[in-house]
Amino acid sequence: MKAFSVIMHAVYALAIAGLILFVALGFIPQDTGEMPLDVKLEAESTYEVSEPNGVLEYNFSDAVDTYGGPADAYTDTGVKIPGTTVNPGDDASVTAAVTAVKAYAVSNPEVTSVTLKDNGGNVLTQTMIMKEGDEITTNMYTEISITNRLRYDLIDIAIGVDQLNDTGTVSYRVAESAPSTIKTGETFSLPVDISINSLNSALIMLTGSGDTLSIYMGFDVSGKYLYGLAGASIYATAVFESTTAAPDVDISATRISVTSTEPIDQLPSDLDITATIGAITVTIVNDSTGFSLVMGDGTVNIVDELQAQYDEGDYTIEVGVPPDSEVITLTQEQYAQMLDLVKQVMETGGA
Amino acid sequence: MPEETTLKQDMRHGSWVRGILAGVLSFVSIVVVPLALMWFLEGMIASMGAGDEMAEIFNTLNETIWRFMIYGIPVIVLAFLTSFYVKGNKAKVLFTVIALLYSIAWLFLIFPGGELPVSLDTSGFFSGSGFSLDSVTLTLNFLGIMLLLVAIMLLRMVLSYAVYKSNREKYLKKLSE
Repeated sequence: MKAFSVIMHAVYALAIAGLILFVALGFIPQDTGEMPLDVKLEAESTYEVSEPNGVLEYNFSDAVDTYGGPADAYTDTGVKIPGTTVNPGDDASVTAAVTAVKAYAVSNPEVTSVTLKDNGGNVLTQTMIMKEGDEITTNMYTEISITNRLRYDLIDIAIGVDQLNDTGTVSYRVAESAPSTIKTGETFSLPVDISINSLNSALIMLTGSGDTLSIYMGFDVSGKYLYGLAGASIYATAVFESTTAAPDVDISATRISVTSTEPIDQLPSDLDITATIGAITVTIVNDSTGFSLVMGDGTVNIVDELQAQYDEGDYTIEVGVPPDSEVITLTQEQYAQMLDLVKQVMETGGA
Repeated sequence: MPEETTLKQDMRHGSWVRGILAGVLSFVSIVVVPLALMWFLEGMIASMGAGDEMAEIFNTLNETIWRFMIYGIPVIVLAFLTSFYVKGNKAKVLFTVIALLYSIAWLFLIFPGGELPVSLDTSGFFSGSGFSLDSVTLTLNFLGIMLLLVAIMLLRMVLSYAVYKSNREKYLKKLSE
């Protein structure tokens, strides 16, 4: 029995020492001279050649302006495409480079993407890469790269961004990354796809107290550490203050009208959308003359009409004025979100 | 071979000095030190002039420390009882096991669900620019670590029985003298 007692004492002491050592080492970086974590928000300037010219021009210009020096477009096999030198602040070189890329892709169908590199062959980066969208949806892409200098892997690291209303009661996910593991000593890039539906975005601003046009965002970061034994989740809410004064809001069951004599800084400055959803017409304008959102013409119950279309499984929106209109099909989630937001706007407005 | 005793008989034999000393030490570590820590933190936050921003964190810490102290009172009593009896005494094993079982419950009473939520009012940060960080809510989850601690406590129970068995004969011999 004495031997058993000695063994148990040894096991107990080892278990306690092991646990303390395991946890303590987890919070001491391998190299104490460096930060335990290094976080960067940027994506390499690689673009699909099938993207529209306008999108490529925006990205070429943004990448070169951010870098502050000239760059050329290279294929994914490392071939420099002739005539694609882009200079910062030089719109003509941007247009010419995009034209050259498009022409090269036609004669070389195997080329599906291009990358901007400087004279030294270094790949340029951008904070946010614009992707092809439609009249009401803006798609962007970025990467959050995290260097893990801690001793253990970071597990299930996930990042999400929500748009909220000013009372925090409505949450609409605009960006999300798939949960990823970041091994110790390695840098891992979390791809973040951002999709902003202008209509839903504008509606969210009206579902709160309605006395501000500031944009409220929620940043959600979660992950596990110490082989999953511990974890943390952080939710930060931020406000992008709008200097625009409270708008005039007029809400009835058949018409929603929001007007302001000042534009909303956080929305595109040339926003002009006319859309038709069933029998409901929506116009959103944000320009130098101000901001306005009008939904419905005062004759048809908006919620009933949108609900009927949703129940039929029809998630289409006709954007533009015929004959120059385009039919956009929202996802069921986007349509449901829009319907839900309209219902909340009606509740807020007492309609 | 000394005569075997029952638990009831063993409960009559203990050391008041050891029991009181253990009780006082537990009282100091469970009540006095946390109270001093709270007083120190309160003073430090006030001197930093960060009262509003740190209020939520301080409140959470305050609540956690109070849970530690209030639910820790039975631990003080159990510390007295486990130290009152010497090795080889059946009552010592009994109260050690009760103390360890209560410690497991105590751990989960302090950190319900193995989580510690902390909120920070950051509305004063970045003021003056077009961007402001309203609030940050951090939830720490250490359920896995707590379960490891539970495993260590279970191991401690087995250890207390091993200590009892290896000291039983010596205890009985001393009792019969």
